[in-house]
Amino acid sequence: MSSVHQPCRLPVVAYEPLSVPLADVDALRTAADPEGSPPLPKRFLRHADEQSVVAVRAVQRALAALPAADCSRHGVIAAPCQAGRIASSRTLSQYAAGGGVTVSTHIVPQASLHALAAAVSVGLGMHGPSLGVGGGPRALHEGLLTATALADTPGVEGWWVVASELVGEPQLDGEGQAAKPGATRVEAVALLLAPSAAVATPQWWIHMEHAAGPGSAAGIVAAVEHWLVAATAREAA
Amino acid sequence: MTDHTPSHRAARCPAAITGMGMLTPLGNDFASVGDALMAGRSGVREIDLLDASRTLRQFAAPVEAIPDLPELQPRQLGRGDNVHASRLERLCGAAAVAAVDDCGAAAAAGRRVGLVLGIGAEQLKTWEADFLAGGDAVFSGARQPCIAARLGQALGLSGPCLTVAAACASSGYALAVAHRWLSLGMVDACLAGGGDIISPVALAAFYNLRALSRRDDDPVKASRPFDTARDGFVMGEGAAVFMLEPEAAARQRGARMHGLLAGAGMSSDASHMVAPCAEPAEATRAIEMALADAGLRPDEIDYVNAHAAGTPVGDAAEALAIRRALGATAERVPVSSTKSMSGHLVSGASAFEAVACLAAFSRQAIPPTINLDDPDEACPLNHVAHQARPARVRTALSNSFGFGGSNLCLVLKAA
Repeated sequence: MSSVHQPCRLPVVAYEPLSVPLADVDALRTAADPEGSPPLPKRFLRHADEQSVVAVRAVQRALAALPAADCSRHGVIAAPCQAGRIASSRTLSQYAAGGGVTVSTHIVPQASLHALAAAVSVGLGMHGPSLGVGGGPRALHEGLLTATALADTPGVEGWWVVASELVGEPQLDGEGQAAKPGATRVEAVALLLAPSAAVATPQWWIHMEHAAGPGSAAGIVAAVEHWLVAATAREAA
Repeated sequence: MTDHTPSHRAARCPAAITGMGMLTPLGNDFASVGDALMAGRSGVREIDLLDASRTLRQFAAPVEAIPDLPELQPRQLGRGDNVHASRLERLCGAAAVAAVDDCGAAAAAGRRVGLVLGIGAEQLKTWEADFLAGGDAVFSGARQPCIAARLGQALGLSGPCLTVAAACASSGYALAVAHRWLSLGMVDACLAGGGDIISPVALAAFYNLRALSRRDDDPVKASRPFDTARDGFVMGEGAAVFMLEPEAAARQRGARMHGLLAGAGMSSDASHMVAPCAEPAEATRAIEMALADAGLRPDEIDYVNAHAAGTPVGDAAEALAIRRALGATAERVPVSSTKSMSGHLVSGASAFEAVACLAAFSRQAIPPTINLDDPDEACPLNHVAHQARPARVRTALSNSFGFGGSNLCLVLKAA
């Protein structure tokens, strides 16, 4: 059987980058919901991973900019990079000192690879499939590869591909504190992909052969902006 | 560039399972696992993780031995001297290698073969293993390639390789993604499955969440899905990986087929980060979508392998979802939870339970739910309790539900 990897392009109808200094993430946990976005449950982000916090806020901002958006039938593909490391550093240090009784009940639900996707779907009421992808340095590419596979899932009216990472991975101490917190930013990019049948006027296209290129040395936002190909619907057709 | 927007894609057809590999608490090959399942043999035993902060006995279902994999290059994590392939990596790798061998290595040669692994917490487990071995990877943050990428390289795969995670539904999502890749022509064949390991911190985390059974009398009796006396799940570990290829291609080359992956349904409760939703509208929808994806009616299903981990809320919600999705057919379709024997393989559960469905096809019998002494009235299903039940089994549903509200249902068919 012949081996063919068919080129693929993904229509993007919303795009929202968010880049926040690590030190400012806690303020974002309790910030007011953007006007026009679905509200989060009270104190929903209190125990969320730093990447989840920024990613959920990015999705909220994107939704706020979409007129009359109903996201209840959206799916979520989250592609974080090394999410949960700050919480893990604390948890492992505490475990070494005090054993299993010290292990936080939040480490599995909030720091595992699915956690970012779950935070978006639970926080914003999305009932489509929700999964984490990658987890390492090629997470965004893996997220887009997954999106190509699931794009036409019946009943899913839009797919959020949400990529995130710490730009300037911090050296951490046993308390999960960064040695140079000012040198680290938490970045997330939220992309809303529409099912092909519903795409009238995509804002951008992502061409997979571009997305397969180099990683995000300059940060995830810069990488995605490099990949997004602006196009009118006429040009796209 | 050839435009290949989703609307132009071909309709999905079943994926043939032409190879499988597994390391599980019930055995490391299909025959052994099938024997254990049909005999109602438990893999749960007392374990010692040397956690002095615990005084209770701890029960779990471990894999006895995980082989070294010469195909995998050792790697260094962090700045320490901790050079190794992790236990999780060896577990998933051994299952993948066994799947390739079972398929016939020659069958993979010259084709674009992909890899999708369902691993829910690869980074956490890797950091933990490194830390407990004296490494500092979690503090330094050095970025390492994922297991899927390393395995793909070690196995010489030319297709895409990635990791997906949906908590306890992870390996089922991996199978669903691989199935879609095959349908789209992105790969000629695809290894797909997943795995998980028992680790001290993960065990403590689930224990502290009160997700684990706290029974400490008899390990074999601890995992009790659907039973009135259930009080949580028993953690297991293991991996199962399948070689999938288009059914038509497999038949054309005369490949042996263990069964077919016919469809998948996926949804989210969007209700809570941990607790399952007691009102299982979305779990029901996932089952209904899986049936539609496979082109089957409820009355064409011969067996349901339930997710049922033994948690009070989860088992009852699933029973309601099965009854709603199958309607009147639910009265007659046999249901069992093989987690009563294997424990809960977490990320690997869905793939392992697909193996259980294939065993039902090959043995023409339904594996039982052991320890189901007193079926909960809140779980009114056609339970197969204690002993395997001979039956004509050509189709099966397999449910998997996870933290974060992930719902996944697979449909498998006999070849």
